[in-house]
Amino acid sequence: MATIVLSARSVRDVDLSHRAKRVVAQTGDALKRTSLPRQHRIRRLFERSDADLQNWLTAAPDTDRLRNGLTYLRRTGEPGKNLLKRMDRSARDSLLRLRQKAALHRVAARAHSHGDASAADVGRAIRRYESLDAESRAEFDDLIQREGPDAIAVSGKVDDETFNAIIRADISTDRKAARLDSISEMKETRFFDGLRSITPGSQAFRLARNLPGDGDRLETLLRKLDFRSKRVLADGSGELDARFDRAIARVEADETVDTNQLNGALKTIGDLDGDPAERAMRLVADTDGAGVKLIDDLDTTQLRTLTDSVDSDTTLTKLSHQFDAGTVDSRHLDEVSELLDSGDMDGADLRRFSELLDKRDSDELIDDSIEADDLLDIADDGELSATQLVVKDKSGSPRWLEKGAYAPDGSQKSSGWAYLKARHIDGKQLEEKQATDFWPVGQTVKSEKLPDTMSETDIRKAIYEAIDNRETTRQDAIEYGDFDSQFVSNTGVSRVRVIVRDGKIRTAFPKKGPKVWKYVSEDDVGWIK
Amino acid sequence: MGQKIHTKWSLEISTPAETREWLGQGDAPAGDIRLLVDESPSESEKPYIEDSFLGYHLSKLLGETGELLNGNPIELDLDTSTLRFELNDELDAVEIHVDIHGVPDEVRNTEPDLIDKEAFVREIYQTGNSWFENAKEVNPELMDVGWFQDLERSLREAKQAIENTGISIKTDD
Repeated sequence: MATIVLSARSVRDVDLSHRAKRVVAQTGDALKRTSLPRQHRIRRLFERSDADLQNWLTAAPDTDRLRNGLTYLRRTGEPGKNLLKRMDRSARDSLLRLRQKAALHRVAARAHSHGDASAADVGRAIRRYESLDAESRAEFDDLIQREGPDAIAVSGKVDDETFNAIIRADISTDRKAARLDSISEMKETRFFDGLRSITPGSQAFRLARNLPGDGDRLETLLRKLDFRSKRVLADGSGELDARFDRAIARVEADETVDTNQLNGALKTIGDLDGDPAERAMRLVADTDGAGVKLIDDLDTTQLRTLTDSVDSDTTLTKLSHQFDAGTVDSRHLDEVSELLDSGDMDGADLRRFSELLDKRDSDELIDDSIEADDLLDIADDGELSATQLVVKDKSGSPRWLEKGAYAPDGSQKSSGWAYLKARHIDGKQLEEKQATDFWPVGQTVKSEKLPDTMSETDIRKAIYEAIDNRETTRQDAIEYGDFDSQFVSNTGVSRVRVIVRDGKIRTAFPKKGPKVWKYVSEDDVGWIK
Repeated sequence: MGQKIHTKWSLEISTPAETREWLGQGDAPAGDIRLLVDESPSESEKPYIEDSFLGYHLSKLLGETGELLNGNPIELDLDTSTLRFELNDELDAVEIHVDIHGVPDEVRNTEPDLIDKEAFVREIYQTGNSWFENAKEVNPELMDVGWFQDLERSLREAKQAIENTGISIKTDD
């Protein structure tokens, strides 16, 4: 057993065994262009190695091994020795056989010493390198130049399929580097390998690239996702796909979203195609966890109905946030789906539904106690999209004013603001009807200029206050005269009559007040001012 | 007094065809009412009284006809007016009072119309019955709707009450 390495210049007169002579000769060959001080450092390195490594390096019959080993040690120093010591014998052979690959040796040692790769990983990378043809080796060399230890670490960690998809793919070095980069920070690349095995082409790499510089995130995400979800996530290659992927990664970090919700949402999206799928992905991209929760709560048919019915992404975004906040719950979503499906609700209605919920604390014509249930009742009985005012009466029943219609020919139901305005502001059918009470908004009727003490908003406020302070039934006519003195002083209206049909306000008009004018056509009475 | 008791009068209400939009959705219609005394509906220029609860009021009017004949008045609160029908037993007639909200009596200077009792209840029933039959044609599914079932019941009660007083009524059916 040879246990020493000597400089060729220092052993020429020593009596040596055959093996020792061989070792010395090989050593001399390997180190003949090495300065003496450096030869000593290499010797010390060798001598401090454990016996197994020393024996392996000097063992016959591989006469090149020691020479290659010393060349390697000369290049890589202590880190290289530590790597070599920890590699299995086959891997050591592979590494040392690549005697001409100085950069590869240095980067491999660095990858190991920095903790980027285990000795086994480096060994696997080296064996893979060995298996490459000259062209692919040149590509790998370029990658080592660009990516350094990451190139070795990733090449040693991924499975054959992933390795080939990086190194052997017919793509530019830039793209190969990007692929390598994208998974370089994963601790357990088996998750990425798993993704590779179920996604065709470059989609897995695209996904990894969409989560730049965060292998932990990708790894954690892939760990949580089921087979199908991974496919959905990796599918596609456009800008929306990238935004969607990044959103899903953010959702993964959102503690309010559990894994089942994440997988549920991805499954639902995966069941869709075309525009509904894009809308759903855009929703997630725009709202992160809120969108995921909403989509998870819907089945595929419901989500398709929703996206088919609602043109506005803003509406879906609002709905997501309202669902996330608990303003809208699963039961409401079921009902919304049914109403959309039956045609009792359309996209405009749903937009108004969300708006009304959003504005109930800020809009004085929307009761702040209105809830989703109330609005769905309104959608069931009326046209939510045309709702201008929503108020609960004293007993808590919602009443509302719609834009409505005025159709004296009976082609539509005359009801709502349009009817109120036609009769009690504009004075339509003045002679045809027995009596007409006028809101004082400064209009001219039958050549008479009426007082100008109210705006249209004031009229709605008066209606709101009247309903707010009275109990009503779904078919009712109420009078209210408890306005505060300031209101009466400002508007000249002290009492109003509000007519409720099927829960909604059919019309309203003033009954008393210093500025209230009335026209009576019966018995030719005319104006009463 | 010597006030004239009219035997010719008509209760004119928006027809089922005119209120098709309401009836088509199963809703009790809103519409107009005219009470014409000695006037032909086609020639009269008398204005219409708006009634947001026409369907319900028709039912009420018919349903309370028996009460009217027993001396209890019927009052209908329309949008801008209150109609009151009151039996004048002495004259065997029904008084029709039209109170336009917010218009003092002295402004209009009108007296209630007096309608012969038999003429009054016949017109009420026949108009109601005809309206009911026409409404069924507009929307046969109304028979499943509560307010329309109430109207049918009111018609039966009115007919019974009228016949109980010995007044015969003739309908188209």
